Order: sequence, then structure tokens, then C-alpha cells
Amino acid sequence: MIIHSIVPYEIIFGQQQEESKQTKYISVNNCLLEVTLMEGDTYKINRIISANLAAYLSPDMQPGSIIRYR
Amino acid sequence: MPVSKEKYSNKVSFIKMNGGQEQKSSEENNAESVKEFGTSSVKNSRGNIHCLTIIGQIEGHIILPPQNKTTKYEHVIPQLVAIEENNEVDGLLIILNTVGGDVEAGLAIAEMIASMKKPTVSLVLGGGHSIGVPLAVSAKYSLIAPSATMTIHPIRMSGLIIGVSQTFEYFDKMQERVVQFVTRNSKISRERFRSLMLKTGELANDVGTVLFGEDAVKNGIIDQVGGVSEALEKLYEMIEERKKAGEQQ
Repeated sequence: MIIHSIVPYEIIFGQQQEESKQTKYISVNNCLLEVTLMEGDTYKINRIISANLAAYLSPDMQPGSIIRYR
Repeated sequence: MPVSKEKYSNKVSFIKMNGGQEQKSSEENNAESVKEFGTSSVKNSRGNIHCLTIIGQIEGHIILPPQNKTTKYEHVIPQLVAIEENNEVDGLLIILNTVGGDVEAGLAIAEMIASMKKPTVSLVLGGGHSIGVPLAVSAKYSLIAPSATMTIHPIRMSGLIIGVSQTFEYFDKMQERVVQFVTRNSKISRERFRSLMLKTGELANDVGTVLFGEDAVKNGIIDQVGGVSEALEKLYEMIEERKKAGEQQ
């Protein structure tokens, strides 16, 4: 991977620590979501894995949004 | 474990960050999508515009540490396909404030935008540096704010480098991809772009050039100096032209 940026490598990759992310895959509306556990039953969407293009424009399923899942 | 769709649909609910109210007007939803994800859709009688913001680092094959603000290509690419395919979207406004990032991911997004049929307008605010340059020129029409800057500089090396001439040739080839894309999608000549890239005395400890808004236009990289109103006006013009051309056929 080649990074072409004005930000020095040390700043981009500095203080890299292993985050103990609890990543899970859940299926919502027939579309697979990679989510991180926030608290209790709420999850933050990391990314969408779907062949349905409309899912990528859906405002509810943008990366960063929070969903409740039990 | 395969699970039926029905089983899940009862258990999932979408909640908004500021919670509480269940029913929200479309305007409120729109504002939230700007706040949380940096995307927005504008609808009016002149056409529907989808606004895509490309900010921070362009994240490629490696997930960057959390202190970086990133634009993720695996999300932007299908989003661009959706925009091109969706009948409700008439035009795309790309707002750029990026410090650069992964060459492959940046060029992938830039090629996607350049090959779209729908009208596209880009606006550089703050900065469009390094791999942000191909992204800025990828739209059919590009604008830059007067105070925005673009840094044009060669790809740098990191990690273990073998001290042979082939290393230089390899990097020159990687560099060439950026040069070719920019010259193909803007008015700047190959020679001029390379000379800006290899200029000394402008950047501390590096070769390259910092271009202000006006300079980027003079050099033919960007089409016009302007702000959001000019960008929207241009996009609506392009949408109207496209609609007229469609009616004539």
C-alpha cells in the first residue's frame, strides 16, 4: 500500500494500539452489517456488506449510525 | 448459521443518536444524516442532488488508527454505483477537504467519478492535497474556494527500501498513474504538472508545490474559483442541459 498524503506516516500510524473491538455480523433487511457493540443492545455500524445498491444510500444504514439489536 | 429474514426484522430498530422522539420530519432526518455521516440529499424542482463529502484520509486496504478521520472506499464505491443507477438522483456534488491517503483507493474513487454519466461537480474547501488532486479533477466541473490549497508532491517511500535503480523506476511508475489521471481529466499539461510536483524551495523538507485557489485555476487543474452557490448553480445548469438533451432524443 502506498500512502500519498501530506500527513507524515508517524502521525497516520502513530500510537497504534490493538482495540478490543467486539465486531459482529448481523443481518438487517436482508443486508449484512458489520457492527461494533456499544452498550447493552446497541451497535454501531462499521460497514455494509450487500449487493443491494439501495442499501448504500439508505440513511439508516450509513456507517456510524446506531442500531438496536437483540 | 443461516437465519431467516423474518426472524430478524422484529428485533432490529434504527435509532437516532439524539434519541427520544420516534417520528421525525424528513428535514430533521436530513440534518441528522449530515451531522452523523456527512452525506446529504437536496431535492427541489430543478433536480435532486446527492452530496458526497470526501474528508480526512482516503482509507484503502488497511484500516487506519482511530485518530484519523477517514473516507472509506468500500462504502464510497458502491454508493457511487447507487447514485449513477438511482433514478431519483440527478446530479452529484462532491465536497473535498482531504489530506490525501491511499493511492489505489483514491484513484479507484476518482476513476469511478470520472466515468459517471450523471452531472458531477467538485468543490475543494480547505485542502485537496496529494491524492485529493485526482479526486478534485475527476468531476466534470471543478471549483475551489479562494483560501483552499492543493499540495502537489511526489509519492513518498516508507519502510524497507532496496537501494537499486529499479526502486526508483517502480515509484516513478506509481507516480505516473497519478500524473496521467490528472492530465487526462484537467487542462494542465503533463510537463507542467511534473514540474510543479518536483519543484524545490516551496515545501519544508520536501519537493512539491502548494497551490492556492487562484493558482490552481491558473495552472488549469481546477476550472473555477468559487463557493457552494457557484457549485450548485453549475450543477443545476448541467442537470438542465442533460434533461434537455434527453428530451430531444
